[in-house]
Parts: sequence; C-alpha cells; structure tokens
Amino acid sequence: MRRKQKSVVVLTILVCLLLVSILLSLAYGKGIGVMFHSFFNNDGFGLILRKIRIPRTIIAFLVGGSLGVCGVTLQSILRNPLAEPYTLGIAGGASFGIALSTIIGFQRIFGAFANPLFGFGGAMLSVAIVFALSKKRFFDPNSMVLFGVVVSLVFSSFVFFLFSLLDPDKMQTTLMWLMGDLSSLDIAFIPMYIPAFLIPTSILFFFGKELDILSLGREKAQYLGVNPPRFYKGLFLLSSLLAGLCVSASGIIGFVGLIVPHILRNIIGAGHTVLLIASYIGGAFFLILSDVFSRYLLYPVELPVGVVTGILGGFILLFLLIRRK
Amino acid sequence: MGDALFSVHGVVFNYDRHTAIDDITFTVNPGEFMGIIGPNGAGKSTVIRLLAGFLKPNKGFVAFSGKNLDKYEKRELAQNIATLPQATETPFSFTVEEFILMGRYPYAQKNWLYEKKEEEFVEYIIDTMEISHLRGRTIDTLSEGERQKVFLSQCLAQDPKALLLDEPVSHLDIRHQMQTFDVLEKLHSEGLTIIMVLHDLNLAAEFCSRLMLISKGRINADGDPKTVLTFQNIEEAYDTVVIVKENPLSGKPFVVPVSRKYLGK
Repeated sequence: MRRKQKSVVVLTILVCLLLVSILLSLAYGKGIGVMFHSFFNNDGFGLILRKIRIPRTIIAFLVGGSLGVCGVTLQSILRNPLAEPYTLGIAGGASFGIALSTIIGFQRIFGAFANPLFGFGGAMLSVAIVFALSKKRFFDPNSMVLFGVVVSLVFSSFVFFLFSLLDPDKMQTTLMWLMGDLSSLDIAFIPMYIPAFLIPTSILFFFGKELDILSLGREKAQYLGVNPPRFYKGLFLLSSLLAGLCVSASGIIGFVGLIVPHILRNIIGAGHTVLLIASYIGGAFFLILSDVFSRYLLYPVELPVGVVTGILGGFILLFLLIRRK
Repeated sequence: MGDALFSVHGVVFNYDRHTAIDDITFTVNPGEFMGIIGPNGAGKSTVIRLLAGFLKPNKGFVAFSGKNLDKYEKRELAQNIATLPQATETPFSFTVEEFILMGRYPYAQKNWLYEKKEEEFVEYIIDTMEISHLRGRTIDTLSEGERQKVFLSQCLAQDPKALLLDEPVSHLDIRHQMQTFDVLEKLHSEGLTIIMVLHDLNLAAEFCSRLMLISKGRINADGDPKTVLTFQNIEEAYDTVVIVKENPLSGKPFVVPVSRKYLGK
C-alpha cells in the first residue's frame, strides 16, 4: 500500500515544520543560541521565555492541534468537509458566557480566570442544550447540526443584546477575545490545560476506523458493525469538550479546524487513522505560525490570532477551491 | 423456525403513521437466491432494512439463524449479514483498498490499525473480484460499474453468510448488469444466501430461484419465477397490463408491459 510510505514521509515533514514553528515562536528576534543561553540563565529574556513565550507556544500547540482533530472528527460524522469545531453551537454559547461575565463584572472577582471559566461554561451550556434536543433523534447528525446552528444563533443574538447594554470601553477585551486571542491567558492555567486537552485528544486518536466507516452514513455504518448512535454521542461529546476547552483558552479561532484537515486529506488521503494524527501536528503548526505572524506582522501592534488564521486560512482555502475546479 | 436462515414472523412496520409493512411472514433458507419485486412504495427496501436489522419491527420479529436480530451485537451481525443499500456515498476520497478494508471492521481486534491478516483478506477479495487494476485508485474516480464492484467487494470482505442488496443494478448498463449477476451467481454457487430488491422483472426471473412479489406492504405471491410472474399477479400488483412469455433460451418467464394505446378502451 503506497499510501503508507507517503504518510510516513508527510508526518515526518509535518513534525519538522512544527519544530521550526516552535523555535520561531520562542526565539524570534533573538536567535536560537541566545534563546538556549537565556533559558538556562536568569536574564531578562529568560524571564520573557518562561513567563510569556513558552506558555503561549504551549497553548497555541494544544489549541491548534485540538482544533485540527475536532475538525476531522466532525467532518466525518457530519459527512461534510466544511464542518468545523464550532458547528455545534459552541462559539455562540462561549461568547454568551463571556459577554455575561463582562456585564455582570465577574472580571473584578475572578480576574484573568473570568474569560476562560465563563467561556467554557457557556460552551458547555450550548452543548448541553444541543444534546438534550438531539436525544429524541438518537443523535442523528443532521438534526444535531440544525440544533447547533439555531442554538448558536440564539446565543449570538443575546451577545449582541448584552453588547448593546455595555459601554464601549468594557467591550474591548471581550471583542479581542471573541476574535481569538492567545495573549491574555493566565499562565496558571497551563498545568491544568495540558492534561485537560491531551486526554480527550488521545482518546479521539483511537477512533480512526470508526470515523472512516461513519463517513459512509448511518445506515451503511451500521451494516459494517458500528453502532452509530453510540459513536455519534461519544464522539460529539469528546469533540465538543475539546472545542469548548479551545474556546476557553483562546477565544474563537476560525479556519484551523477547516483548512488543516482539508489540505492534509488532499496530500495523505482520507484514511482517518493517519489523518487525525497529521491534523493534530498540522493544526499545531498552523496556529503557532499564525501566532508568530500575529505578534510581528505589524509590530509593535499585536493582532488577534483569529484574524490572522481567518485571513491566511481564508485565502488558502479559496485558492484551493478555485484550483480544484 | 427449524434451520431457516431468516425467519420473519408477523412483522408490522410503520413510518410515523404510515404503515409500510403490514403483517408479513416468511422464511429464507440457506443457499436461496431470492428476489423481492413489487411496485414503487410497496415496501421492498423496508423489507431489506428489516432483514438487515437497521429498522426494528413495530410488531412481530425477525430472526437470523434462530436468534432474534435484537440479540445480536452490531459487529456479530456484520460478520453474518452484509448489506448494500441503494445509495452509499462518502464525501472523502478513500482508496479502493481502504474502502474494502472497512468490510473487515467486524473482525478487527485492535483499536488503531487493521492487522496484517485483515489486509491479506482484502487482497484475496481483490483477486477474486478481479479488480486489481483498480488498486490505488480513489473511489470518487471510478465509473458506476467499477464502483459497484468495489462496494460489493466491501460486502464480501465481511465474509458474510447472507448478502442483502437493494437494487444493485438499476443504474448500470446491461454489460455491467450481467457482470454483477455473474459474480452473484458464482457466490451463490459457493453457498452464499442472496436476497435482493429488483426493479427489472426479467432480470429477477432470469437469475433468482425464488421471487417474492409484494405490494402495499403485503406479500402477493411467493415462489419460483414461473408461479409468481403470471400476468394476473403482475397486473394486480402493478395495475398495468402485461404480456408474459417464455425466454426460449432459459425457459424462464419474461414480461413485456403493454402500452394503453393498444388496449382500446
């Protein structure tokens, strides 16, 4: 099987790209020698590395990889290459949670913890609603998408409603966050986030075979020995949890979960076992690189990383779609 | 029940309020080659889905090898029954090998990759189905006829005792229709039980050893092609006038519908 050798080559290249992007993110403007020197010595740059650059790169890695894996999972279940991690209404719910915490003033009580906590809470609230609604339909993917879209729209409308009550100064941080922001996460979250992200992702890695089969549709999947409702439920839950964590860590970062699986599928093929791993590495690479752009493209002004992934990803996707014909 | 492969007893099935299957009872023995025929909306596909365990009867039961379908694990059932529904679509470009390998899922032991012996079984299927020239192609680049062979290969990779097919040839040209039936006849002669929904009465008569004519969710006639395909049975089920003749080569009946313009009033 020729695809196997190709997969190994592509995975190796991806790992190299990922390492380059990590080094770029850590050492930009200083050089690798200085970076290693500073890391082991307590100078000013060493402090920046430990307090800012390393945590930020870790979060970009975890979020980017997870968005890639979530995208692959949902695209298979929904049998739609345009599905993305936020398809089930997570973005709307998370924004609502953040807007609510801003208007009530929880930032004063929880400080830097407010956005991640309420973002995650809001995301899980919308997931819970979508699940409760989908139960009667045996977690049929099509109904779940519909419920997700509607729930997301309702929540977004509430967000605009809350915004219309807020004074513009307070909106600034919330807006930044809604556009996807890797700069404001408190590093105290990192030790918690690492296992919280890695456990659901590593579970998803083991469902490549089922994702292959589920992409043939519910009826055929059952004939091949998969129990669709059970897998729909479990896989939706895992990917929603992951997407909720992503949103809580860095706001809404679009296009990573869409474009990374799309490009990789064209290169290594549709088999999900390899695609999941490749999309994890590719997603991490893409987000870390976008974060480097967001920091230095208009230096000293920092862009929200979601804007960079949106513009970069949008153009790449457009290019691919036109070329495909 | 005895040693019947499928036993369908008193089955009623409703889609919401509409009754699709209205109290049917029949058995299928191992080694039968059975065609299910009948007009559009008669419930043919519903029968296949009930036999395959995708739909659950509202009343009555369906058993396979004497055991109610409910009692089977999905994987266990997939080791025994392979089903090819009318439309199988995927938005992704799997290779032919990847696609057929999915048929080994019911046997796969490990969670991650398929074992070597599963891949070897796929090689064996590719050889017997004579599709090695398609190896490495992705399924979205295949013609209808080639794709049907690959879909059938995926079913055979399940190494089933029974094969259920829902209109497997209706979108194929006559050459590919005959190729498909040649393959099915070969499999049947090797002991595989085949049940298929067919639109084409003449193909049904030619290849099936038993036909079941259903209309409005009930069984109108059941038996060998000669006893089922009488003009009375067909006219009653389809509400269409037909002429039934005998194929001089095979001795099987063939059916020609008659246009209204020749019927006078």
